[in-house]
Amino acid sequence: MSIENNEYPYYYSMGDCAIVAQFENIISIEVSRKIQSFLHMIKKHDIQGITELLPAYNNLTIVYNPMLIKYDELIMELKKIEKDISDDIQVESKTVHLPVAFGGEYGLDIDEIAERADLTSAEVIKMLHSKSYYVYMIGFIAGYPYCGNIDEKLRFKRRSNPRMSVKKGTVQIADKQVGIFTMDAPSGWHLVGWTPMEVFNPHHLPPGLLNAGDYVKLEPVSADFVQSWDEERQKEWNREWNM
Amino acid sequence: MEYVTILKPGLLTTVQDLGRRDYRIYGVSISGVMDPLSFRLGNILVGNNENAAAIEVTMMGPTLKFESKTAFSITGGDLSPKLNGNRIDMWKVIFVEAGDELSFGKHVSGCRSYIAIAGGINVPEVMGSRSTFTRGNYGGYKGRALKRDDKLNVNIPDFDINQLQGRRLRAKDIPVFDKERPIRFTAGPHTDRFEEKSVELFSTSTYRLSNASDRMGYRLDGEQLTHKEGADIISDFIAPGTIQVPGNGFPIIHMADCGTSGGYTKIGVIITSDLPYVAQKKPGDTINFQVCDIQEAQNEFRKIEKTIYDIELNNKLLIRN
Repeated sequence: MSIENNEYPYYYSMGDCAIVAQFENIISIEVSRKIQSFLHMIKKHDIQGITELLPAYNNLTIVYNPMLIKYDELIMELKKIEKDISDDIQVESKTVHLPVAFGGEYGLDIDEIAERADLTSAEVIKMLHSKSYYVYMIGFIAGYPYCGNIDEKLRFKRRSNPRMSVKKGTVQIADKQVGIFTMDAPSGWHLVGWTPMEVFNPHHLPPGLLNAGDYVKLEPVSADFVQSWDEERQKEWNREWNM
Repeated sequence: MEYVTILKPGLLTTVQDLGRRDYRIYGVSISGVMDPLSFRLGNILVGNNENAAAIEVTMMGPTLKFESKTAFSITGGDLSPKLNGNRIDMWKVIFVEAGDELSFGKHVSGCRSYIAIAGGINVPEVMGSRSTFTRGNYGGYKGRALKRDDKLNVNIPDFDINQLQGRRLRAKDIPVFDKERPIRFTAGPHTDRFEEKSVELFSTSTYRLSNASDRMGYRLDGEQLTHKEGADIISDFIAPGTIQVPGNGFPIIHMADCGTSGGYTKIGVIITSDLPYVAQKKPGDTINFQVCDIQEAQNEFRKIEKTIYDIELNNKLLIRN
């Protein structure tokens, strides 16, 4: 279905080498699909001077070389193709299954979330792994997947006092979002679990397991399971789940 | 393969090139040199490809020993480079014999110098770049800043280094890292999220780089800016040069090692041509912003690229092996 809409996208500059195509200012899969659709159309049209296309939750940043195309010219080119933007596009997308140990030392905030949501910890964990999450964007410092949407009952603002260091592999939630830490870093999100599976490796090509538009499914496993994780287990897991 | 030995590491000495641009789609920090202008000019002088890996020196320079005859240049901020204890000129090609020692002295101007050696530093590429990303422990030399006794491999140049004899940059092409030089930015995208008075204050008052400034970002002290309705946005793209204002009202300039996304309102983006001048500021230095429109920013961009292109043509090597 083609979307009749005069308001979106609208364009603005982000410095002298980037234009942002802004869509509805909400976190929704429909908006994300429109962004993916625009991204693929721009790729297909092969506009001179564009060097990168970077999708976020509600906009697409188009990085270009001003030696090759000027701001006004690029906007004209983009306007020519925007009418075909659709939220019903067929793009290549996959579901990645991640083994996750929830709660306890692996998910320090599960009990607090349960209390605030007036649920048991087991119910919170069940809610977290009972559906697949859409990958809206990849960002932060090193391949952090911003995914969602988590169950409405589990949505809480970020912690007012961020933790100084959270371990690589930690699965965390904030508002609608769920993400997996790809390196040790400070975090203000709520920690719910931990995966031994490497979501990002700078020495692999591509370095990340997930791309915007993919889905991720958290599969509950035991603490013993994640502790005994090694290359062999990873291969087995991928054969069973991710082929 | 030739190499140099690090005798003293200096404050923060890393291997860098122009960074990992093609990997931002994977959420990878671009990293790379803080001052691409000085870095590119340094490489051109010594006959290298513009993106050849060089050494970025910060404030207090290292001491290093050349283990074979070669040629190098020092560009960027003036940190009093010396060869075997004698002050040497910057922005020109210097020849060395095996055993010669390069050291640095007191700070004169800027914040970062670049040591470009003919042939370029040879470290493995990680995600298309030889840049060190210390936060992620990857790239450059073992993913970290250089330490004493490290031995850095240098590629053997594919040309006769005698062709570099007498090369220096013309005075008019040498960037001047004057602290008073205003820093231009294009406004927005979130100008309307700030009180009008704050937008005005931002470009008329003087800011100062705080001590909490590093390769990832510069935190600024000065006039506190006020948001109309909060500082948060739904996370989206940021890049070196982006000026974000978090809830506390104090601007942060994102620099080379910044992430690829952020969740705070952006009051402006520093124009590409002025970013090297920001990179050459050190904690305690002042910064005055000046708003500029996109046309002016892009004219400036093209002007500088044209100048670099001309310098490159003037310094073209006639013979490569």
